[in-house]
Amino acid sequence: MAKKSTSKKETIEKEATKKAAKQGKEGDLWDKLINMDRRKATKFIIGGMIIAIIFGTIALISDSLANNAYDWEYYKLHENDLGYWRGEYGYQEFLEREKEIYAQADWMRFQEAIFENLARIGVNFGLIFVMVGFIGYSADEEMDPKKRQMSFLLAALIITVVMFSALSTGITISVG
Amino acid sequence: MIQILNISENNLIDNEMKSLKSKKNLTIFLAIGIIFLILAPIVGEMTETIRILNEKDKLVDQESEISFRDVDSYNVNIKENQKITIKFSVYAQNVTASLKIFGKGLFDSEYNKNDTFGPPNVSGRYFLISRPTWSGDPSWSGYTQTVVSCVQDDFYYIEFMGDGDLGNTIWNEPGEYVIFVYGSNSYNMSTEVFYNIEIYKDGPSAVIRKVFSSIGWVILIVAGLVILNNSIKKFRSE
Repeated sequence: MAKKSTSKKETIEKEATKKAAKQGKEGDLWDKLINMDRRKATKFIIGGMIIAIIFGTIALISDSLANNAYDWEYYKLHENDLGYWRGEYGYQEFLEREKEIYAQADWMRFQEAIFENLARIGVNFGLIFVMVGFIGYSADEEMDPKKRQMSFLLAALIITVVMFSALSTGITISVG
Repeated sequence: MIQILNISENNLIDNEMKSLKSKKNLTIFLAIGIIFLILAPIVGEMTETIRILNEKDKLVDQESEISFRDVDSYNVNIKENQKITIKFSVYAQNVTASLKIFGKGLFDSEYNKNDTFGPPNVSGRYFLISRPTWSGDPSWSGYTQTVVSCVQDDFYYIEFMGDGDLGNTIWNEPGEYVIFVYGSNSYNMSTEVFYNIEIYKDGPSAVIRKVFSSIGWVILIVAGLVILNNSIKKFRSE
């Protein structure tokens, strides 16, 4: 009986220490974010921008592939005709290749749905990094108050963009 | 104190050496991945078809027109979604050579029956003949037949998948088949029938392409994850 009670006590103590450690860690993370120095904030902004640019480029490539799928399809079909006429393969092979071209072109058009959504997640992830960086600037007491305000506004603007792009199809800016 | 400094210097050098080594390994890893991706379509194209038979000026006696026992026969096995391509031609005076394809069961049965003039009289399976002409759409120049006869000078490009019908369509029926050639020589003094035959089978190109490109992508993704992990570690340590 005595053994049981001691073991129970031990487990409760262990759990309490674990919880405290976890809370401490979480506290550390938020503290780190608020007490971030200017150098680290700049690192966050640059890192976030790089991530956003990489994923944005992926989205652009995916979009371009989907837009050019029809042109690619016509080109490959014509090339298939030429292969048959040159006697490189027979009519059955010609038909098989034709079907494969249609399937591949369909995939090129469809991949946009997958990769653009993945890229959107990546861009948002990068923008969150940038936002954290600007929050770091705004929390820096050594900085000019106007710059701090501007940084805070920029962070708010970025989170608005992230929210809009997550909830709607996206934000477009038209010039001219 | 000097000893401690020396030890820390040695540690720094060790760490730098390690990071250099890991960078070198990563570069090699990335290069292997890219090589696999480049090789996938090249090796795939090379194994698109495999030649399983190449006979030039092959001789068959004109008795082959009378008896199944005298025909030239070639056994082929067709797997699921597989196709064989045959290039059949004759370039010899007075010679008529014909090609048919039977299922192995029918061929063995006819071989045992050995009816006179069996080879030209028994119908075989349908195959597709291609005659690509630049003046027309590809669909105008592909048609099905159960026999092709090369008279003196002729060339046929044949595709066979198991069976077909009169509507210019062939389809896949996996199984054992026998391609056989029989012929005649119209010159009284000769009984020799010369013909050329090449048989190609669909190769494992699709599988090779998939395996090579999958390995390439897996290597690139793993390398990317390792680079990401290293950069996060570096970022954290700073």
